[in-house]
Amino acid sequence: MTLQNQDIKDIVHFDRVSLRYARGPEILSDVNIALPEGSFTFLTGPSGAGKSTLLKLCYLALSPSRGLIHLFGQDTSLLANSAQQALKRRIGVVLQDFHLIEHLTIFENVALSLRVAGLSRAQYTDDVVELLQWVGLGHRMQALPPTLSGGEKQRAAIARAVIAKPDLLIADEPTGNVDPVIGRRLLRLFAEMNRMGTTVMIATHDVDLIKEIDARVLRIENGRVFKGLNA
Amino acid sequence: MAGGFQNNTPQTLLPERMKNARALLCVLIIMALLAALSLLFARSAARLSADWQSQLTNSATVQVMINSSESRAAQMEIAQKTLQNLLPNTRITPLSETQAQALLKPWLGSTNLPADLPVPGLITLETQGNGLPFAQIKTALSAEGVIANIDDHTRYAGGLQRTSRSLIFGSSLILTLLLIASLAVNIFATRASLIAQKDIISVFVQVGASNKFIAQLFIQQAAKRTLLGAVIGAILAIFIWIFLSLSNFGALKDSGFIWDSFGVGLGDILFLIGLCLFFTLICAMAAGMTALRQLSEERRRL
Ligand SMILES: Nc1ncnc2c1ncn2[C@@H]1O[C@H](COP(=O)(O)OP(=O)(O)O)[C@@H](O)[C@H]1O
Ligand SMILES: [Mg+2]
Repeated sequence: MTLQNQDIKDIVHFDRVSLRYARGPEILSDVNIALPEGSFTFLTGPSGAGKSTLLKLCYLALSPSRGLIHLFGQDTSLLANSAQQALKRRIGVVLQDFHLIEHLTIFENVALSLRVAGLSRAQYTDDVVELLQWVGLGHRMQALPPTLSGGEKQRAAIARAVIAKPDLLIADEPTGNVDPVIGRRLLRLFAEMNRMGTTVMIATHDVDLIKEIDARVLRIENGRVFKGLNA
Repeated sequence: MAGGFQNNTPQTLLPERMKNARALLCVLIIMALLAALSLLFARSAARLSADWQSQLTNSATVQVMINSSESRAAQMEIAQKTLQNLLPNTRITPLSETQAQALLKPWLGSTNLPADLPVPGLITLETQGNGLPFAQIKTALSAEGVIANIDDHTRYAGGLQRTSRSLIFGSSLILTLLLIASLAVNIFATRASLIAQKDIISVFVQVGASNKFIAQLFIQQAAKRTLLGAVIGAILAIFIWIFLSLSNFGALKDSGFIWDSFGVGLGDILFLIGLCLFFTLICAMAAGMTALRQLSEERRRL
């Protein structure tokens, strides 16, 4: 049952993972998943099924109650703080409510992960400007998040997630707050990143979105994970 | 394309505008003000005591025992000559019999002294140097057959020293207590800030920031507010001190006391700058340690 590190080539690998919050019920039970490098995966299921919870396990915001999680081949239960931080820098996360820092400009919000990684302003300015222009926020770089529309915020959050060229991109309901047109454009952005080698996992309950592109689908029901859109 | 991009200094990652920031700054200013005042007080007390000390050891009164009214002039002359030979750089002022009598009046009362009990001859000694050689003076005088008492003021000096020592001790104690209180204020503020900025911190953590990186933000925040509070407090303290020395002590100065010690000199300013920096350093370290502890506790809870 125990797997050796070198055996796991997957970017994300769950081995009989269970999770409960405090003394609550088990949200996830004996979940096994494997996301190979360069894969594109949708995670779906009804509201409250545990999609966000599963993603949190993937981006190290939660530890499992039972079971083993390997990220990039590393057993996450054995990570020292510094190794954990290094792993987090390889993961880009887009959350449903964006989590933009309100007192920082859009430029600063997007530059954050590069700053945290210790890059100097001269080293990252051009990249940040270029990416912001690419996502159509070139004219809003000095704006503060509260002055942005929902779609703009979303693009800023995505820019922040991808600026450090993550190997794994995780998005939680990224199209939840935007109209379908923008939603589809964002999806094309993710597909583009995936074509360039990034492993992508997107949680959504929007079946129409899933049908937009040909990708693997995982479905959570009653704490268990199944393959495919329907039972 | 990046031309419209003028702002070249990175924004501070923690919000500049903190809840209760103004109240916090006020508290820090008041603590720094009180600390600066007690520092100025301690230094003045030390200076005052040193001034008095040197004034006391640099002056003395020689009481020459006069045998009889007839021998008075001769005895005084011998004493004066001996002192002049021994102490060439000292101002030696013999007092006339009337002056001596006037000085002794408080002790003798206004009754006339009997003729066979002459008033002692008084000679005052004043030097600029490092004190008077009291033992040598006594030996030299008795070698010349002059019996004399020397009032070297040591009785006052001892008391003065004890008083100034306890003043210095007291104000150092107050200074320490104020420092501890400022530390506590910074620790509370950092804890509150960690809670208030929870969402921001979780974003930092998500993008891979280390606890050290985040703690540094709180160190900067605490250093900034403490330095500001300390500088404002110290400047206020200087004004208050100058005002006090002009209004109260100024009057006393005219009556011959040594209140010069209560000014603000360059040395005091340097000490105050040191105090501000020390305050800032200690408070920033406390904030950093608080942040680190809380952050690693939270990671462990994950
Ligand atoms: N921090 C938490 N503490 C306790 N229960 C939680 C917490 N977060 C989520 N839950 C519960 O876990 C279940 C799954 O939530 P979530 O993962 O957000 O579902 P989804 O994203 O699929 O809508 C829900 O019943 C929710 O109430
Ligand atoms: Mg969710």
